[in-house]
Amino acid sequence: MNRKRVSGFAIVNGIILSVVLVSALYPFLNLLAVSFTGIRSISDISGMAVLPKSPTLDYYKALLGTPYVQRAFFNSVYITALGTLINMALTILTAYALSRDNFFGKKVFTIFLIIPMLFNPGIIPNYMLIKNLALIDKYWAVILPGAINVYYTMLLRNIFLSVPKSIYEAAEIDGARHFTMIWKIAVPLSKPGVITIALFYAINHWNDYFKPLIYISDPAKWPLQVLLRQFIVDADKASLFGPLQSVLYAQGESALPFRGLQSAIIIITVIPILLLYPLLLRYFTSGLVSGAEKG
Amino acid sequence: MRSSTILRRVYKSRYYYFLLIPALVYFIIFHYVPIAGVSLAFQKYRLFGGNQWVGFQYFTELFGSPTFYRALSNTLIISGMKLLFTFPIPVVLAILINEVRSKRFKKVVRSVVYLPHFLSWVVITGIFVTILSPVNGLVNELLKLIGIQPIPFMTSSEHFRGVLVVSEIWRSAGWDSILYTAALMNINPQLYEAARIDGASRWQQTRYITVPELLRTMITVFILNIGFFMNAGFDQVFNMMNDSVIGVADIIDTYAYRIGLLQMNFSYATAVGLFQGAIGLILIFVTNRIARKNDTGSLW
Repeated sequence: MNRKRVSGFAIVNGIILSVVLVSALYPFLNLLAVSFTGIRSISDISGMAVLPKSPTLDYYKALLGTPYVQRAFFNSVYITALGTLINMALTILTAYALSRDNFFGKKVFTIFLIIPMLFNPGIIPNYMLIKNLALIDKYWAVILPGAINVYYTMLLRNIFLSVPKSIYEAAEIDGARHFTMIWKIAVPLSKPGVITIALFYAINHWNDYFKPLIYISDPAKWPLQVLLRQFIVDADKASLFGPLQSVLYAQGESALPFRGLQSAIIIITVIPILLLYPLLLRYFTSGLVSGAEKG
Repeated sequence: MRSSTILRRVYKSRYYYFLLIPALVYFIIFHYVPIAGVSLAFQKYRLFGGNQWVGFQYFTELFGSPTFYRALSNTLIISGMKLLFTFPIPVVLAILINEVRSKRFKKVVRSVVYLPHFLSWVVITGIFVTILSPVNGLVNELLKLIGIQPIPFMTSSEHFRGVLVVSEIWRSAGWDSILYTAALMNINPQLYEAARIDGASRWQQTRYITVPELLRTMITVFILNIGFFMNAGFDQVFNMMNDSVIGVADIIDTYAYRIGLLQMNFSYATAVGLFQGAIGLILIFVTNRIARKNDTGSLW
């Protein structure tokens, strides 16, 4: 069979997948172009444009120069960092325990973890809990409710299962405690999986808008996603809203066009994800494939 | 088992229990307390003083409310549309990507199509508002080229559910194809080798080897999707919905949010959530039973 020959199917397939690629990427290219387009051209730049008209940094300057936006960025970083740290501590401890076979009551505990996945009590009971714990307007209201994800825990447990038992046994003879086994054996041997799961958690925190939206009313504590939401979803009301005015009128008398600010703040919000993404791709395949096969 | 044996085994496992304490505490506070909290659906909420038991009063109210039925039917319609239109796409995508010969192109396509999954619905709403804008939006610019008048997709009741389906595909089709890619990787290459020797064409190989192997995964995913049928996609609808499309877009979750957190009618909204959660629970049990009978791998 002549493998060099390009079949009709290969050509059609190439075209279809190229269309898929373009439709996934084009919106970003256009947003990028709009976010750099000067104030006078902004109202007539086409949705098909991939190059900015009369390029400017005005929107980025206005956004990044406003203390309100800077604070939102810092809040997002803080929530993501602290949240992921707590996630990983809990997930590693739990996954490690569940991956060992010589412990009594493992089944009961696993069922205990799975029940909440089957029944969702809805928004209000969760809201009441946060209210009763007096966590409203505190970062803990955003960080604690998702402190451990059962799905990721099971995934990590499966990855830990591929650690050879003999290594644990040897360490036990040397008198190692569980903490040593976790930090010196389980985690280092499952590095790609641990990093992938940490990245999943981090991205989830970065993308969370709902918990801060309902639990945090003080605009100074909002993360970037809530701010972004003001620009996107509440765009018409946002211009009347206090804190956003400082962005809109960053350049003085006349308000900056919403379209430019919208595209720029979308780009700003997405950039950290784009930075983490290559790392995720690198570890994802090697990290999770081994775990998924055992699942 | 004698109780002393149990005690001895518990004692031997004691260090594991220490490791599990943080998760245990977390689950009790943040999952089991809210589960118990659904009792609010049977109580009249009072800001000061104790709540008063009212039985099924809020459920009677619920089942008499046209807005609730609208939310229920929207949930079922949107879920159904998503299942119908988005379900096959990851399968096709996985097969197409798998057929690519160039390793480099394959890698590029995969990296790009997985990406939207990692964007928040706020960002995706921003993207869709931009490309669907009746003024200068990408899609309407393209429609203009073939002589079609601009369509205000985001604010048109006629088109909004379509927007939900398409944006769901844009976000998830790539990521969801991973499962099928994994299934494809598990196919024994010798099967193809043997088929080639027997003179099977590429299409025949796909038809008689690839598709049957994928079918198992498809059935499992389909059954799981049915289990989550009551969730039509809160984050998506919550962000994309606006006043002009509320009639076709308001789902149970957005309805519960509005009643509960905006109108502060806590008990009624808890009843809405409990109704949804209970149906969801039943669906999961039923579909899991079917999955087990089908031998397609179940949740537990």
